[in-house]
Amino acid sequence: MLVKIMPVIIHIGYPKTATTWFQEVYFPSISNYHFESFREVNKVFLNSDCLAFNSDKAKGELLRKSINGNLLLSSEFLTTGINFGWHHGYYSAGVAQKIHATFPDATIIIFIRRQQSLICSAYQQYIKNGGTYGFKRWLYSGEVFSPEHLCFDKLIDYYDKLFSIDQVKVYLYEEFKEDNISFLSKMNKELGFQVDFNDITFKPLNMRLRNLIVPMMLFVNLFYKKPVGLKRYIIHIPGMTSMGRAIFKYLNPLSIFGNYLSESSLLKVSDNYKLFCYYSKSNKLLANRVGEEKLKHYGYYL
Amino acid sequence: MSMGKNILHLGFSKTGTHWFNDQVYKNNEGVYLLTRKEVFCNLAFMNTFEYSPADTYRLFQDQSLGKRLVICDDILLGSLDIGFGSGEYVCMMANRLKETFGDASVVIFIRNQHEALVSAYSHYIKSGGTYSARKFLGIFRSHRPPFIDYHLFSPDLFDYSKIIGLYDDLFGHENVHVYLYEDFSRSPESFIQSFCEDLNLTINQVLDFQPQNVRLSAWSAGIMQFFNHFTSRNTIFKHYIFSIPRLYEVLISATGKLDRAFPALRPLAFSGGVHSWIDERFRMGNRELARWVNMEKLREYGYPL
Repeated sequence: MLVKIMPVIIHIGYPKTATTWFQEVYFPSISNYHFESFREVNKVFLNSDCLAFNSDKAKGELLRKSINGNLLLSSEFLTTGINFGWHHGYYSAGVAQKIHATFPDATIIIFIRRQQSLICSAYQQYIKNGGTYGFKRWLYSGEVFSPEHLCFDKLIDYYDKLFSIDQVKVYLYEEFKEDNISFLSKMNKELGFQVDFNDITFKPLNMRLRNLIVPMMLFVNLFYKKPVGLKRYIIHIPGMTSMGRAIFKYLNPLSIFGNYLSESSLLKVSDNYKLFCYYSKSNKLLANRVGEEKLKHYGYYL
Repeated sequence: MSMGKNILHLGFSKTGTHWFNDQVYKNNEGVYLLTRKEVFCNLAFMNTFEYSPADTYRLFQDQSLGKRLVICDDILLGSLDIGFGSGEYVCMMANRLKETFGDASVVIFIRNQHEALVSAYSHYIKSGGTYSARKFLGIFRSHRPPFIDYHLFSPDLFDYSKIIGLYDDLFGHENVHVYLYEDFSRSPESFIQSFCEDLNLTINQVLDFQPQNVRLSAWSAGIMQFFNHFTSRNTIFKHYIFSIPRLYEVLISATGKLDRAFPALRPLAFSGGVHSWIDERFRMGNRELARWVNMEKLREYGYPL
């Protein structure tokens, strides 16, 4: 069967939707696309001065590395990092404008995930990265996490208008988790990826934290100033970053430190209610784009 | 007489923007000056994906009762409280203003970066900051990961030519009025007269030319910087060891009294090394300013060139 090849495909996140696995395992295995991961992509689209952005130069820089002209770019930072604030959408929109100026015909891939699940995962990422705020402060203070960040319909609509609805592919993380192979086969067909599944390992790369590891890491994180968005540190002791990493690497896998954190252990009923009130309207609009049945099936707030 | 265009007075920061707000626009009968709250809520901090230029303009128009709209707020250029990031805020705000206000007159004041940055640093220390001048200016920052310190001040904000160029492209050269803060500071009365003629403004009251924000003395800055380590207020970009309640208020009051009691105290200043860095950092950009201002004047006022 003849598959239509899309020369430039850009995966923009969201964060916490298996982006690390896609970037480290799956995308590099695609034989008919040259893949560039977040470091290069961030350099071109995030760290470049908006006022002096040269789209021709950016295009040349990225396409130069592709032998057949097919290019796959991926960085979850393009939707802005969850733990670095929302900033009223200026960053996301600014980056979208840069991408559009560079590759107006590109196909955009956006993965989304139930907000309640993504929030819990993002908080654990915050702790792993050195964060010190408790869950409630992280969630509600607005200092780190901003709920607007996860109004998926808004960003998707912005990209739809900028590129066209046919160029923006929205995938559900839950579909991918439910049945990796069939999801990826469908995605490959749609995007024209050629991948040998025998070379792929489906083991997740990011592990959740165990209940008793959380306070240990929160304590250790108070003693180094690694930038993580916002945190509080008492004094910076060199080497404490390694201590935090060691706890995660060597102690977190041990079951004596309790169960892995789950949604229910972080989100109380009242939290769930507040999040439901906040996101249900946005998800209803999202349903027009991706299908209400699908969202209902995977437990999105509706 | 024609009413004149709406006015967008954008700053830059530390160029007397608050003074213009309070003295020139606030009590002017012919204009409707938007309050800071209105600007924050309806313009600057609206979700980008929900912002509607037409709705916002209609809202402002309804409030103005047919008068000229004036916004005089350096938040439109990022102020000192929104970092430059990679210029997204500045760029998108310029486009937002164009979409909302069409062919308004844009007023931009610039100031010798040596002075403007000392003033910005003084403001940061007053806000509770603890970083050194070098850290504040990002002189040691070899690499900045995306999003980190987005709200921390960035000296890129003072790269005047790029930002003026952006507004020039959007609003047209004839609508962008660039003034030197030093001209205003040297001879305020005559400056205001010609400024009002340029923008078709009439001033009916006597103006108070006393500066509203006074820079800290070097002593006060040193005291505040040290004791800010013991208060969590006010800026989030600081390092405090623990927070003593009400210390911040005490510090503000004590340093204010100290500076008033000893007006001869040396004002806060940067070291020679920092000034050399400023010279190097802004020299090339300032040379592009010839399209808008007299370069001889920039030389006279000591701009990096």
